[in-house]
Amino acid sequence: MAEKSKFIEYIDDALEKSKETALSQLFLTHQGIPYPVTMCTLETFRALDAFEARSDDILLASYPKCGSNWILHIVSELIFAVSKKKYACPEFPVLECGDAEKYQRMKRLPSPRILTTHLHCDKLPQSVFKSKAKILVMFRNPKDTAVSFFHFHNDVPDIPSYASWDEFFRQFIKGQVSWGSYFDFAINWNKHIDEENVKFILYEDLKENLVVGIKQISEFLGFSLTDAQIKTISAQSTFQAMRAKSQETHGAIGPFLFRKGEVGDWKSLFNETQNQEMDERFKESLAGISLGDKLKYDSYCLA
Amino acid sequence: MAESEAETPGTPGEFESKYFEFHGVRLPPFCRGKMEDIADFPVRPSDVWIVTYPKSGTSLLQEVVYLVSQGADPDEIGLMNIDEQLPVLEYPQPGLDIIKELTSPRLIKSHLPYRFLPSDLHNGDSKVIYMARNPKDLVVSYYQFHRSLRTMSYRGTFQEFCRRFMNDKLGYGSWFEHVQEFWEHRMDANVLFLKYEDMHRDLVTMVEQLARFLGVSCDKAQLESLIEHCHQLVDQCCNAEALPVGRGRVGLWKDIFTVSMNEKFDLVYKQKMGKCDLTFDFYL
Repeated sequence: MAEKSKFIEYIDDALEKSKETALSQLFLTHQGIPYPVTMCTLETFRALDAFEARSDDILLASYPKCGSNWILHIVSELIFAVSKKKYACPEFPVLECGDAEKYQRMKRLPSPRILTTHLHCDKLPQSVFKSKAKILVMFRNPKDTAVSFFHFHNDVPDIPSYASWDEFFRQFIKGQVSWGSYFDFAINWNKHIDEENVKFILYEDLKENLVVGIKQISEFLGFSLTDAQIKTISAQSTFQAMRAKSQETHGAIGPFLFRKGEVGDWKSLFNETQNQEMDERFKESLAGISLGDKLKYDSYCLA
Repeated sequence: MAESEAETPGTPGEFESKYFEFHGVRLPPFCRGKMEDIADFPVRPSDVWIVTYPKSGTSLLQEVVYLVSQGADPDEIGLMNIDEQLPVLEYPQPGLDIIKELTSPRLIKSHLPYRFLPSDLHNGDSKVIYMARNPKDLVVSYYQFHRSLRTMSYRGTFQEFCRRFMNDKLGYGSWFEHVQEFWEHRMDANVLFLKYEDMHRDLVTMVEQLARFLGVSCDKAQLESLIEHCHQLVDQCCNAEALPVGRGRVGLWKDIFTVSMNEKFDLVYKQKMGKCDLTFDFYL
């Protein structure tokens, strides 16, 4: 028995080391923040600094797994309703992802362009703010965000996988996950909450009343659409509708992008100690600032 | 401990089939065929009984009780020796016949519900110390215990195990009934009702209660010395290398219970304990 346990220890140790190696090699660090190497490169980050935003660009900013694909779909449908032309972006929509030459190619795209990003606002090129492009910032309560992010990491093959929820939670709370800290992202973007070209949206509000949410987005973007048009777009933008054709619209990883998630899912993964730790982190980071109130933490995150 | 290992089933299915019911209460297999003998077990006035639901701090309590009743130096007592010397009534070893012959005073343990204990105890013929532990820490500890058994261990998830606990489907029956039944007897002259969490929160008072209950008289200096030894014992037990880190810690459950599980548990707890005024510290 002693011999066997030594053997098991050896195997476990080797497995543990290989896990650590694999995980650390799957991230690159740029300005102190980790990014997945399969999606981001240092060359692209350098090229991004010179990106020229236009005043009629629409930027959709969100922390990962806070509804970026959902809001992209909604805005695409709004533009289609207004311009009658199907929005077709030949570039991968996430601004900081892809090859370094994409920004040159994007110069030839017609307006309006829809861009998405997971970057903290202080990591975006200056032109985004100078141009007064319209920016929609999507937020989601941090507990459901963490759970969704964990599942995404473990479901999608070519990005880092975590050995357990507990391990992921430790990294998430330290901000050592792709695109860095949820809290830093929120604190950064909070600086822009009162600017007239910036609108904050809550994932949970959109889920609760999609028609009202889409109407508000439409007004913010300066579109004049009838209630009937808003309702049509709403029907096409439910989770069920989007997941149904996700393979067609988003390729192989489509279904992973639209994992079924309900508000409050976090309760099945968070243990009570982790729950307390997250509450304390929220309190020290975001309570008392505009965004903190807007997130309605009390409604979505307190058991 | 070896007997428990040998008797405890492995798979949830096996786990289910090994237990048997006695008057509606699920009991371990080694209790089969001897419940009448247990009811008729002869009790002596000099006996001290320690009764707990499993994983409620039995080991620690017996050591404290032994210290208080004997006034012994803790270094003279080994953990292994205590378990060997102080029998569990219903366990296969040493068995009822041997326990009957032990010299007085006897310190006897049991996990049986109040109503299945020897009739003489119900008549107040000897002292009974009952210890209850907050059920969230208890179920975590009970699960870890079943998982740690070498030969046959529980293979299901903690969530499944916890559901069994809430549905009264573990050995020795319902914790809720077990604890409430004794609570109803807490004012009996021969019963002392204690809580595990008080051993950590207010050991001094507990030692004083035990000394008074056991009729141990000692002067202030002796009492202080006794309390000091008991503190060492409590620290020692909770930090013993043999135990997983923090096994005896109050609030252990918070690292294990998900928020969802905790909500369900609180509902069941309220349902089953709502009319009872017994309360617990779930953390310190």
